[in-house]
Amino acid sequence: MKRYLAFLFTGILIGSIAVNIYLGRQIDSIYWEKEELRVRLFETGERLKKLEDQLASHKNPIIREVQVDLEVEKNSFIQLSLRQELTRITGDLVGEEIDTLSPYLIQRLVDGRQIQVEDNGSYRIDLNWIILGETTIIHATAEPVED
Amino acid sequence: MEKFITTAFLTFFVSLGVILGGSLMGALGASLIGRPPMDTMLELGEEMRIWALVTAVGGTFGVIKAFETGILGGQPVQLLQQFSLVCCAFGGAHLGFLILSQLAGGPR
Repeated sequence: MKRYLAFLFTGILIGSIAVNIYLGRQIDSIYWEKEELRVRLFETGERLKKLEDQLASHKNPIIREVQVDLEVEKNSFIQLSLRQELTRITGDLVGEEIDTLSPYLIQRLVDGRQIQVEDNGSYRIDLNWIILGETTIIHATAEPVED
Repeated sequence: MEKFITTAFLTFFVSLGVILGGSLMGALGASLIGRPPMDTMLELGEEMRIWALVTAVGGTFGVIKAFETGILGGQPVQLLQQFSLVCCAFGGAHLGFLILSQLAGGPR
């Protein structure tokens, strides 16, 4: 009985060795492919980590301040009133992300707008130029509207 | 002389068997633990070559003693016999390694 078991065991070993030799090259190539993929995964993971770190440290710039430069022919009181009104209108721009903000929005917000100054009639605002940045500068000219 | 030839044959095949058996079983083990079997087989074959030689000639001490007897005792025939046995063992080990190399798809 033990002899048959020994035969069986030997047969199993010989069969395993034969299969191992037959499939050995495929197993080898699969092993090296796996190792290569593991290295590539590591490299990709490292790159992803670096990019994520960069992304986390990179904040989208936002508008922190809006400066209004206004040219008015008449006295400085009117200029102050108009500036105050324009600052109120454009005040909501503070905190907006510069990358996603369209400059045409500011143009439409300001250009051609009529502002009533107490006891001094209406003034029409013509936008000259805008500098869009953390400190956004709006340069405009105010002209009185003839009734 | 007949005894020497018998011993030489035995030495050759023992050496061959040590290399083939050790490496093939090692390769099987490598497969089971997820290592490349053919590469492991060749590595083992190369490492075991010298040990197959030592095993086949029956350890180091006896051979050294026989060399001593051959040189100091003035028996060049015995010295030649021992040298031939070592050559047979080396031949068996090398043949085993060549067989392994071919099984693994040629030398690397």
